[in-house]
Amino acid sequence: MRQTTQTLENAITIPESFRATAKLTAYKSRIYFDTYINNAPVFALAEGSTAYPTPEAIIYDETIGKFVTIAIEEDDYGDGQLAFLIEGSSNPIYPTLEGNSIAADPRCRPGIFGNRIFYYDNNEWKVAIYDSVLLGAENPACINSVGSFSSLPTGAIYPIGINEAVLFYIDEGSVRPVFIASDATEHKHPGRLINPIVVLSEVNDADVYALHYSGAVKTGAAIYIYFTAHDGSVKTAKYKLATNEIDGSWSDYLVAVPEDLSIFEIGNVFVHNDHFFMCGKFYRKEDFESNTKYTLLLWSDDGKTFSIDRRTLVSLVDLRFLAAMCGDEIAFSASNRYNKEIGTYRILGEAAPSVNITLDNTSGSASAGWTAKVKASNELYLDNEFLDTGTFSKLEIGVYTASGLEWIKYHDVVIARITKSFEDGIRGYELFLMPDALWHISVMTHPFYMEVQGKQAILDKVKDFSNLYSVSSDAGPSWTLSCDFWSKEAVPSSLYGLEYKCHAGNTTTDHWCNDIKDFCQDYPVLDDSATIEVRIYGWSRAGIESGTPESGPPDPTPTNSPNDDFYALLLVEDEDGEQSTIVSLIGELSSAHSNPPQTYFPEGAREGSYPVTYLMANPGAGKRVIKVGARIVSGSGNTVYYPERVELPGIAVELIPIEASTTGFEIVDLPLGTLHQTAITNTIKGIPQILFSQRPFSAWNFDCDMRVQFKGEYTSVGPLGLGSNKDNFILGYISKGKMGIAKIRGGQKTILLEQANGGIAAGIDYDVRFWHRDGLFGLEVKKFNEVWPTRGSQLTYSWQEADGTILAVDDIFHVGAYGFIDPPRFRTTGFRSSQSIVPVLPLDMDDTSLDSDFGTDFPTSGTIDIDGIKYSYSGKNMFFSASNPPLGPFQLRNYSDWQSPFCSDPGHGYAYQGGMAIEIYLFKWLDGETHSDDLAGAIVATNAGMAWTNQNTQWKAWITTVGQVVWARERSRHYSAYIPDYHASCSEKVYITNGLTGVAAIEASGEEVIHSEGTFVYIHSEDEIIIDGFYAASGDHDNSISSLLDKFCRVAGTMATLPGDFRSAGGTIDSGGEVVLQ
Amino acid sequence: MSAEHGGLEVFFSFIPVIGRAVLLTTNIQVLDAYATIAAGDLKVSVQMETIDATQYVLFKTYAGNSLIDQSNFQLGYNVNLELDIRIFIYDQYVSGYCNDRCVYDYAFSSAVYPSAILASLSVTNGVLVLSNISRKELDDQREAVFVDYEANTESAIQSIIQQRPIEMNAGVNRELEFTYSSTKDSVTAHHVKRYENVLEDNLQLSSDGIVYYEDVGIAINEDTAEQVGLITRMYRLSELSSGAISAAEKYQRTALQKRNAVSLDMRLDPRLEVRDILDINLIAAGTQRNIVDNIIVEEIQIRLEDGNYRTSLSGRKNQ
Repeated sequence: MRQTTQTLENAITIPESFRATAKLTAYKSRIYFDTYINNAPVFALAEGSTAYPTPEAIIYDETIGKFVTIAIEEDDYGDGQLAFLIEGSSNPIYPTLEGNSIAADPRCRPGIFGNRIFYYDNNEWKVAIYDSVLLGAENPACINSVGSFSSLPTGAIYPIGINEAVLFYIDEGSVRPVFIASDATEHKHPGRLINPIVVLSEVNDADVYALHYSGAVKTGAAIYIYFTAHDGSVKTAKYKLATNEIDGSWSDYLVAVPEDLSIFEIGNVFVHNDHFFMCGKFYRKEDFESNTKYTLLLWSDDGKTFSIDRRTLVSLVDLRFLAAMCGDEIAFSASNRYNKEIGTYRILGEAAPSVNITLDNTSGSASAGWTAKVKASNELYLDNEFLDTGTFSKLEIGVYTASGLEWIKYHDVVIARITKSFEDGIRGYELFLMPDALWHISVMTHPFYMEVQGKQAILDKVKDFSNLYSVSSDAGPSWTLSCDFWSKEAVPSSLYGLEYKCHAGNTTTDHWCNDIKDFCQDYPVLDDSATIEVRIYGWSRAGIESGTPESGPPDPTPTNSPNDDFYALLLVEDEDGEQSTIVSLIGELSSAHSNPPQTYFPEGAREGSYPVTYLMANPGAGKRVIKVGARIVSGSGNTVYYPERVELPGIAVELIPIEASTTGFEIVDLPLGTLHQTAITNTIKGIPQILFSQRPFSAWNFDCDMRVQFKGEYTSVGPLGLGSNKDNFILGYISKGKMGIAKIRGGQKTILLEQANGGIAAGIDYDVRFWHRDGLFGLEVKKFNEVWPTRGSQLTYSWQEADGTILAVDDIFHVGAYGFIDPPRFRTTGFRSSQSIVPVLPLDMDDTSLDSDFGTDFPTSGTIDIDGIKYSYSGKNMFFSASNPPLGPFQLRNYSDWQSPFCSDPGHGYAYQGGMAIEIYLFKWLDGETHSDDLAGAIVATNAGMAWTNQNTQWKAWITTVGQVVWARERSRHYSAYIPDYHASCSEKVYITNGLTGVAAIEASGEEVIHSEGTFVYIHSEDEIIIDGFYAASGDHDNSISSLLDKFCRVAGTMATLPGDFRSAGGTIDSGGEVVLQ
Repeated sequence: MSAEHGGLEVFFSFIPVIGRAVLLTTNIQVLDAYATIAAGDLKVSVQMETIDATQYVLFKTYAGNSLIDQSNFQLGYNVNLELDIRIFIYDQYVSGYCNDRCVYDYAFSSAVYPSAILASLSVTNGVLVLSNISRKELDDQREAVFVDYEANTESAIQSIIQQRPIEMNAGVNRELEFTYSSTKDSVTAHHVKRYENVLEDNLQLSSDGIVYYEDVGIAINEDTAEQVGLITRMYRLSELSSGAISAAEKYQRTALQKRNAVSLDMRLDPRLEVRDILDINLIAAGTQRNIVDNIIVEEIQIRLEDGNYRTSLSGRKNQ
């Protein structure tokens, strides 16, 4: 019931006679201008300019009685100086202090409050105090003093008091708002406004100027900050002040103005009559882009949600207007091009200009609207500027009481229709009025697709995979890229492997390894590294082929001919599928020589590099490497050569799996008496197991908890967030004795922060909580039956500029679970369980540790896991090292027992061991006396799974044909009494390498198991991951029906009230007392 | 009738004192996340704590008297300020907010909501001053709402409230009022020219409602059973997950009220608003019959023309 006076109530309810009337007050409801007064200085930007915004701020100076703009003019050298622009004057005033102009960073957005100017200069924020009287007289010598204000970096400043302000600056690649209180203390928002796929930099002008699209106001006991985010929306946060008006607490970032293919560029924000106003430019982008730029004056009652109703439009002039109240007038000014007029109802309320209309006949209801006829015979209202559809109005009913006519507000309304009629001698004027709120919700159409996403949460007790789902691909483990030249080369027969090559002098021959997808899950994508290291292994000599077993023709090659130079080849593909071949440049050579060592002809012997290494310039981040190869370039004479392999240690690839199973996590029933009925477990080694959660579908800020247990030495497990795909996410993890936060990019793990925590042990149920709040990550761990430690007390990490973009793809931000059993490992050239040596396949470099696990982590004896089969080993052969790399692969050419005279150099020369030996296409023209033991003790391994210890090498292998000595100048002969008896083949690759020795199956099956080339060998330590539960919640605020109605009504320009709520002003509550909420 | 879906949204403010907590007590039965502690009434406490001179807001969740979870959140600075708290409980989740910052969340293994959710605030370990206390009537959770370009706010509102029988009417000021069942002031009818009461059953009337929503349930209205008899009706509220039973009960209550559709004409009374309770006590001319009625006003038509100042009202019986 409307509240009335007793007099009015009596007049309504008591007398038999009754008389009433009605009136309407229609208020000025709109500002619109398409022309303006132009007092702009020469440095003002033209209409439609797309240049960086002019640094300026506006204020109404009561002393002068005009609005004043403080701007920064930039000269041709990039230096700036302050300039005052005064309403009505086209002469900019360049203020001076003691005759000197005031320099300012032309990229900073200055601020003005009272008679103080805030600006950035010479690595600090300064405050200058000016004399308004002198300024009003356009006297440049109006600056009284200049002092320091803050040492924070340049950006945008919004003074909210004479000695307090809000600053926006770039902090570690993203935007940080900070409140600088009256005691100069800095109160930074704990989170930052982050463009997830761009790292902002203070040295980048565009990034600094982007800070100008912001604002801040102080009202009551709170400060509100606003920022046009990278996506075009306006984000806001509130700093609730304590009673000392210094301390306080920041809210989360909320959306003040949403977006969808649109941008709202803040000009400025101010508060008037407890209402918030935000002046800015709205326009559409991408597919909806046009030349139309709308200057809007948005408003809000709560500072959090702004109305975008149709009367917020004030101009289509494409300038960056700022707005300021000048008494009851409002000025819109862009570098002193301005429109100034009296405010509207939305600004001034019922103090706005209005017209009163006496209503003759009025009828209707609040649900259907009211029709009111107006006396029109004098055509009084026909041309009234306020009477228009959409005009805010007030419908009142007057009742004649004992004290005279008394009015009661019947309804706030909006004029929805005006009917004017003309007949001879008759004029008609009829209004159709709608309740204000109903009019707003019926006519307000949203200028964008709007999605209000509230908090999503899930508690998954992992009874099935209905929520958590695997995003791990079918790929095998990742490893550093290396490949040989086998199988893609033209070979005489498919039964045979890669033979040596020869070409004439001054010839260039390209050899490509296999297409990378022949052995990897996908092509590797280049990151933004400056260079790519490529190592080329092989040998080369001068001369023609020996012709073995035939006696070849005389070699016409000059004996001083050089051997070949090796160059690296890359075939890369860009995003459009365009492929290009990149050849290394001699200037990119990082090894000592571009040729391998030359031992033949002896006269032409020269030093060389093994491998030949290049640091090639990166052809472009994002490009895919299709295949790699070697370009062999001969010098003046013929050459014979053998390309072994190419290694790219800086590029990781996911190999096509050889192992039996790569899918790790599976649901298992737990034994009775355990904590839960089911769990997710994994024992697969070497492959990260990644589960994404269906809910929250996307979470920028999140809490993600897991109840987990791990076993073994090499397991890490924990929640993940900001996941784009299986190769890109942020991870919080625990493992034995430590906890950490890591970044996964392109499948590669980079530890951001790790610390020892000796309390974390295998076999215990832990709760692990990983969270993110606008660039700040935290990780806590506790035993399952304990309470959480203080949030942030164990591990927090603030995202750094050096970390790059926080997201790989700005789309959906997954949360999920991660588990990785990552024992030390190497790949084998092949192993048969009947043998006792497990050889190491080069390139032996773990893609995460970037060193040899075999060399650094494998003990001299222990237990290994190959394809899930456990073996013990008792020795470790470390013949080769990083500086003396393993050799191969070479084609196996001969498997024989060599007796005299062949086991000596011809003519009863140096005598070798003799007996069983293999010949391979490894050539070095070295003397037996000095070099026969060069490879003694190294492991000779074939990809048939055979391996033995080499004993003696006959580098100058020879045979006789028709009684004549024939030198086999493409091969060498390697003797060993340990060569196993087997059916050797020329299709076998042979490596000379490191390996584990004394290997035996722990549980012999009786059948020989063959582990093929490339199979991973892991240290075994009973590792296992057990996930008992998973909980995740997004950081969005919960939506209730109430909160949504409130938000949508505000956007529409009205307000939701909820009369069914229980409300209490509260009071002092004692122990034992209570407030019943109903 | 209890349900796994429900909601409770409570706001309050207080100036914290170390060691003292505000405790929200409910009759929602909850089981902790991993079901290791016996179920009990859900209680949530909020307090300030100081650790190493830094202040944190600490939330604790109890099932009965058993603490099942606690977590704190740093407020930022060493402050002494009023905390604006929002506790939102829905389905199996609870969230806590402090000064517009999301500071706490927890999930229960299960939560059972009674048909009448009781809630109260109390203080432990001393005295605290609470202010701005409210409990929302429309407290069902909505995860997301989508509004297309061409949609007006009216349709956006409809997509928020879905099939819930929420009454929406324009307030006298520039506002929209939303409620399930709240009423306003009592006003005595006067200068009544005409009174009409139409007694008629309507399609929504039921004593025995079968409710289909995300789950299934039943809504009983004993008043309808008493006044009309057994009427079974199906309420297909397929869009709803929470609040469906309440919605069906509201449909039943309103249908019973509308069984008596009352309209009357009286002298213009500009005080009257929709949802006011109009007390009618008339003596009919001629028979001198005393008509006593009490209605919830649903519609008010006014007319001021040619010396005629009249209000036409319609409403449903207030029962």
